[in-house]
Amino acid sequence: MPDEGSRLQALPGGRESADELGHFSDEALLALVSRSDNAALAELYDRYGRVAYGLAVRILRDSALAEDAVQEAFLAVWRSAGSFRADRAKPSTWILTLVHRRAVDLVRREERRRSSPLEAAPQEAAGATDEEVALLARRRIVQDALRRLPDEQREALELAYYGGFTQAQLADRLGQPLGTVKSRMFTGLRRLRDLLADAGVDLASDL
Amino acid sequence: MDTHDIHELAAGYVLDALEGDERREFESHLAGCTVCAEELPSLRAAAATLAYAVDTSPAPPASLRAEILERAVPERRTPAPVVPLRRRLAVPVFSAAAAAAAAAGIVLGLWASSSSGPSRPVVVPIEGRQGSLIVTQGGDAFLVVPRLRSAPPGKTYEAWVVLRGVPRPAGTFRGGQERVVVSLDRPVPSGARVAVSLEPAGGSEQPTGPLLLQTESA
Repeated sequence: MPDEGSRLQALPGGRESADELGHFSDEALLALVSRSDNAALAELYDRYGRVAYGLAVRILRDSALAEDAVQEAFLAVWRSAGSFRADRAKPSTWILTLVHRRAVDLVRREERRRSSPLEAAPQEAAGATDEEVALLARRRIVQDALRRLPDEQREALELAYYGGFTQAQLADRLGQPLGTVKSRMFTGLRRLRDLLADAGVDLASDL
Repeated sequence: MDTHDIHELAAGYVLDALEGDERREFESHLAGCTVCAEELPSLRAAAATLAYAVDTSPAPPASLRAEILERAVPERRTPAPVVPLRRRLAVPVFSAAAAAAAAAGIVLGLWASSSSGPSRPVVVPIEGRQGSLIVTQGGDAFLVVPRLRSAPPGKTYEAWVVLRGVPRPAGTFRGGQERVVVSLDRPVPSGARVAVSLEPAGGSEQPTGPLLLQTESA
């Protein structure tokens, strides 16, 4: 995704501002969070909370459980920002991974698995805010890439990621050998990665 | 009998689709496999983009944000491994003894010598009060100070980058906001400290007033 945690820019000498956090990179915000800066956590939530919640709702189909998952994930960010390694992931990847894991744990515990396919992104949204427009654009990019995967690869990815199924459960459900499911997931995810890169999405983990 | 290629488990791993034995099996494989280690970040990032393919039209309730921030209170934690938090001698920063103490506090090989700044943002606390210095990978430095009263009329705050006892001007500012964020005019090299003094309006070439705050060594 175009990195909206925009890079820190050196402002002209000695300039000050009360609300500069909007200009901080995600990495700088995490550094502040590791020193218990509540405002920095708030800024990260403002950047990623909406998609985090949308993901949790998609997986859990329940707004209360989704709120729990998002809350637990951001509190995990709060507690462990100090051990975040920038060479392993972008902060947004890390945060969304925490949300995904919490949501999947909850969906497995509550046995609420759903397997409905993704809805298509609406063509336009009247009166959308800037944030909504940006989210819609990203949604379209990812959905376009998914659509270009062979059906069985897309199905494996979607059932795993949104449905919370393990590979073993998928093999069972689809009536396929486990090795086949693993291959589809691996090939599919690699192809998705390459399609996204072709579409100009920034997947870089190095900074 | 499963004869799959174990590298393929990387996808299931980043999609959180491995459990128990399989996850452990992959994790111990990962510890020794450079191919997987190199590929994992991009696979993980690709998996995370799937979060963006969902419907985000129902926005989360405002109460969710409030609850998170309310529960995010400082707790005893492992501090980010940035600088050793040594006790400083209580001497003015411009004395020879303090210069020696600052030199002794020099860090630490945390900063890659090949880049202009640290390999990850460094956060250095201000001594004795809230606030921090942040140095980014690009080498930009920001001083963040909550609740600093406005400089009196005719005066201004001035930031200094102090290296080996020598202060150099790094920008002036007025203060007064809930939280002041000052972009410093000059980089903060490893081992330097940042200090702030009150100066006549327009700033000075050297500190003329007492130091109001200083950071630990960067």
